[in-house]
Amino acid sequence: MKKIKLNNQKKVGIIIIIFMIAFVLLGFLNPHPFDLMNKDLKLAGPSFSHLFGCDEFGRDILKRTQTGMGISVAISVFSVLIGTFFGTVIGALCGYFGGIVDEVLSSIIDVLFAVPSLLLALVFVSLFGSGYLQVTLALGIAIVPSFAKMMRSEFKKQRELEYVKMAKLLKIPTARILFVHILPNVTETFLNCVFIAFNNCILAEAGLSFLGIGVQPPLASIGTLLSDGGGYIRKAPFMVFFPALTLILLLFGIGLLSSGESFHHAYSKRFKD
Amino acid sequence: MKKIKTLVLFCLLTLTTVLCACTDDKAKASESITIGIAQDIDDSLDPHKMVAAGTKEIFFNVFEGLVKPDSDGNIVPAVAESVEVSEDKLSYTFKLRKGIKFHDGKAVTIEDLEYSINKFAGRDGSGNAAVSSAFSNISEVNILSDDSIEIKLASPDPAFLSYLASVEAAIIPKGNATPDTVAIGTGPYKYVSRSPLQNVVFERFDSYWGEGGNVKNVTFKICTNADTIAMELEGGTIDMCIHLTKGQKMQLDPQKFNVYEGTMNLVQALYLNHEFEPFNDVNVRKAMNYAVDVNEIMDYVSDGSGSKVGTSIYPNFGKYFDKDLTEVYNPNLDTAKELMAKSAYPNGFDMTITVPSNYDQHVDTALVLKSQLSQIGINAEIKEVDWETWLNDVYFGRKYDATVIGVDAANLSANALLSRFTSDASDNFTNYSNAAYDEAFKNAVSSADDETATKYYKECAEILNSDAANVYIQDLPDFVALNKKYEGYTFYPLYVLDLTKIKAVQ
Repeated sequence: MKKIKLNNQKKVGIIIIIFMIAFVLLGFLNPHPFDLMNKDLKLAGPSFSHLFGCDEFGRDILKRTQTGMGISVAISVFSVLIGTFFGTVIGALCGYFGGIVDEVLSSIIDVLFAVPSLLLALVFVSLFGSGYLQVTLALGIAIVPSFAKMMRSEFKKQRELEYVKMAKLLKIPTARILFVHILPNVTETFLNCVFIAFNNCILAEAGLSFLGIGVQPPLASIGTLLSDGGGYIRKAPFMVFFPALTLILLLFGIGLLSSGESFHHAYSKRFKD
Repeated sequence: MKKIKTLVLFCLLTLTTVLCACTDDKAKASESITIGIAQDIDDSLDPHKMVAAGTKEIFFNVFEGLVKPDSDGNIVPAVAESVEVSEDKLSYTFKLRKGIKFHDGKAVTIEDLEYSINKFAGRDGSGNAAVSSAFSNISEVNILSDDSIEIKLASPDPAFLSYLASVEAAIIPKGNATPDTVAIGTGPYKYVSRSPLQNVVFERFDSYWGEGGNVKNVTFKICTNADTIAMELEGGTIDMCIHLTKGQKMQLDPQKFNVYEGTMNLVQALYLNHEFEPFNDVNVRKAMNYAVDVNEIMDYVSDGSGSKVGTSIYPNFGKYFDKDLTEVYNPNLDTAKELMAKSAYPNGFDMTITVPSNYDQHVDTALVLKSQLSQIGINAEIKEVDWETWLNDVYFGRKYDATVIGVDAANLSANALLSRFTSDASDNFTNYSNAAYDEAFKNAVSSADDETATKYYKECAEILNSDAANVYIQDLPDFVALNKKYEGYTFYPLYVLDLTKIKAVQ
């Protein structure tokens, strides 16, 4: 097995992401509970015992950022998993079979696509209540349409290629053709979609929490930290600065990983060898 | 080179304009003021149909009833010059003020009074219900002469005048065919225009009967984004803002702004649903009251401002308010734990606090409550919901365990705050049911004189406290920022903004 070759952008991206994972995991060593209030530390600035300062309840912002980042990432990862799974299956079926299957599924997707994904998530949350489970599901469902669209066009292209026609002639089961033969050949689009969806999820979760329907207090997510801090931006800018900085770093890392010279080359090289 | 010249010229021009503007700042201040309000005024302009508290709050300056409240909570004559109450408290005779005019310049006639009273009492044959249930008590409206009118009640009501002293009992002209869109009243300011989501404009009414306003033009700017309000104040696009939060207040420059501190005139409490299992146990409710440290809540939520309530009456209610009740449940964890041990839930229980997410103060309060209640083994989950959901599920649906909210009063009668806790009240969202309370309340409403009524209302308030009906917290502080170019903001014991008190600093 040959090593996957990575360009510099991706290397930096991976370093940043490892750094962020370490940051979240180090939260377990942080002695301050994320919901412990302290009257004397209200809006206290950064200090040695509280590196990121304290919020309006005197809670440690570092710990809250670590917890919040963990929750935001967890929500996003699971949402992307849900969205990717259904999006890929639907897209694959539409693109590969075409005809009536494509017509029906595509129309449904088009209808969903017409509704902004944040609104879709809002409707879902208002139907099933708020909480991070609901938010995860809602965001996952919101990802499906765009994912299905991308996958559909990719599978449609691949369907016409020689290797698929050969596989068909060899009477290889359709499921195998779809997910073992075709899928690896659309990895480039697939991975880019995953990374973009992940970015969007973090931001959408922040938006939902900002609207007060995401994770419930006193639990924090990056979104709630930003919205709480926004009210104190003049008096205590550190309240919004540090959570925002970590969010920017994470998104930057993911962006680097998904951009630049694509995985395609690395993979196709592997296939050639 | 030419470009630079133009640029320099342009900058100079702008500078001159700005400098010119500075010189007549003071003159401008007496001419106009811009006030930021949080919500659009999309209500009906008919005072008898206004629903939102925020609408009534500013239209207090446009509409007046026969009587109106003053800033001390007294009821003073307005459209009526004087009032006489009969011995049996069943007949009120109002004398029309001489020379009083509507905003369109027409004199107020006795027919306008009759029309308005019949309209807001639901007696004009239009099928509309009375704006307040207290007005269905009106049995007759008789014109006695050109300048006096009599209102007869079916049964005596000591609080009747305080009901009349609100925007919803305003006097409006009979000749106005479209009161929904054309606002004509008798107040110190007249309504000029409204641009949806932009502003509402008032202008001083120069033929006002009393001491009118000082500032000529008043513009209410709609600032729906809470995060930008402090910036707008600092930037000077608004001169004044009512109902600031603690966070917004903190951001203001004390050199440029006077921040007035009053109270919001509401009772903030952890309201308990008495249908929810643990809360029908008085020991549990008392334990919760002992476990909750109101001072600590005030420290976190509003930097120590606010006033304790202890029962469903807030301090501005003067004679009904009993300060001793705020000291009954001084925080004491030992007592709280003893009471929990005596209850059916010695090991505590789980509960959910439903709280509307648009009210930061209530969400913050819920957070502190959660940590305080955990000390006696009560595990409170916080569930944030949007305002519509809160209204439907909690207020109307009564499907909740506990909620943090502020309950306000429509007028200055204790009835407005206490009636909701009678067993069969339609707005009894806490499902509170106590025979002793119902009895005391019935006595209060049916008492002929104010003194007896007050005694019984106080008894009601005491029952709510001793029975630990809810975990009473505070009357929230209300902050108003006013640019130092102006002065004179005055708080009322009701939810109103009196523009006449505001004037430019000389």
